[in-house]
Amino acid sequence: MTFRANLSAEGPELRLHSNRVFGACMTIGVCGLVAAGTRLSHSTAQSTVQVPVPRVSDQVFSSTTDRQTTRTKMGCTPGSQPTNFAAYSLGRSFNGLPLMAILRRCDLPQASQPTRANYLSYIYGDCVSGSDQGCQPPLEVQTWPACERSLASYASNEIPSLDPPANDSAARVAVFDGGNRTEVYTDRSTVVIFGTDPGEVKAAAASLIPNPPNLAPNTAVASSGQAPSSLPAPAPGSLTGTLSCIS
Amino acid sequence: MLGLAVAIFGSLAFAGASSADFPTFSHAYTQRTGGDCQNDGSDPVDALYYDHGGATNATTVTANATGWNHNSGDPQWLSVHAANGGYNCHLMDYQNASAGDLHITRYHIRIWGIPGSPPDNHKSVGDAHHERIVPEDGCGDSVYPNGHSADGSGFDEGREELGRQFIADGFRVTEDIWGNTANFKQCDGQFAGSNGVGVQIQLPI
Repeated sequence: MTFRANLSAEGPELRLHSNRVFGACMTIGVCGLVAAGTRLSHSTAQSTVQVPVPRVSDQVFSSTTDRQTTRTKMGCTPGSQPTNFAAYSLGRSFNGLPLMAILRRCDLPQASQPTRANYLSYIYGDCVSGSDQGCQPPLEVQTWPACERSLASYASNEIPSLDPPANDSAARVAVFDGGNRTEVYTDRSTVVIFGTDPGEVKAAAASLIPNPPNLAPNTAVASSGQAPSSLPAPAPGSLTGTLSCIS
Repeated sequence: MLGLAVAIFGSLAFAGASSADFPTFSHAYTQRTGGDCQNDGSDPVDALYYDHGGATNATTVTANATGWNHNSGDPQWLSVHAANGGYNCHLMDYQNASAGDLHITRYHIRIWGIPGSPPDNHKSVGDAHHERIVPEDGCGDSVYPNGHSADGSGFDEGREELGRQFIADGFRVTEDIWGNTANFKQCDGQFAGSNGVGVQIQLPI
């Protein structure tokens, strides 16, 4: 079960139109609890509530030394600071799905594991979880540094080679899992889009907005502009796994 | 192996694209409901048993190797590779846990046999995770969130603990990158996702 809402930009804040129970919410946290029992698309009595950009949920597990960038790993930045790789979002809402959460995850590299998580995630829309039953939000946009995640990260027997590009200056796109996961390889970033509707995932891939530089993840999405007509081609070496994290 | 869809972003030419699927034994995420096994994802698939990895043997050996002898927990479904080459939505075959589901914290894995695996290489998959009881607001079992420990989220902790226990028992254990890193909202409102790693455990024939 997922939720979406009618959103419209009115001045500096987006406004969420919902029923009066939802309209009584004062904070995003409280609203989240109320929304868990409310199907917004069925609301009738309309009211309006300001929806602020969510706080960044800081899920960085690292020590001071892990803030150092090496050839194979970017240093971890906390959620309160700009990422040290170009990140992308869909702005403050997409296709009626409001931005509900921002996650900054950067794990301690483990010798026993072939990779670690290092991404900034924007989550759109809500869902209702239960005991022993997590739920998948309708849409999630994760950006990873391409030196840590790219097409080359996967076993060769799972991923065939890319088709020749029709345009040397364009980003590349790969579709996985029946369209529920799409990866966009652009410059020094890998944008991974997850969703429950392949059509929506595809539309999201065409609507990515680069975060303005030097802004923290929540400030960046609040300041983001329009999606550009194209995104740059992947940096040399990023599709073959030879891109160094040290630029 | 299905073809990989590649498009040029400027015009976003997805035309003619097909998709590469998750490692072909199953879909990437378990489901809370059966039916078409679509759009109700709950856990990332993060473990593979192979060789003598049929579901019955997998659950028995898991209990022996890890001590995860309890079998309580809610049912889930998964689209698994069928004998006819397609994919069918199956209810889990077994589950193993380190404690009952009312225990304050436990490791837990649900196991699905893969009917489409070859006779000389029976496979099963699972959703290993580390979870805790959250009593507030009627929550219940909640997988530990991202950043919970050096291993990562509760999904990463469960997978790593499973692998460590099998290594300690002398089994061959390897890891691969599967890329199923979507986040799942838990009943405490926090998010947990896998780092995309899958553990592969050989159960000798």
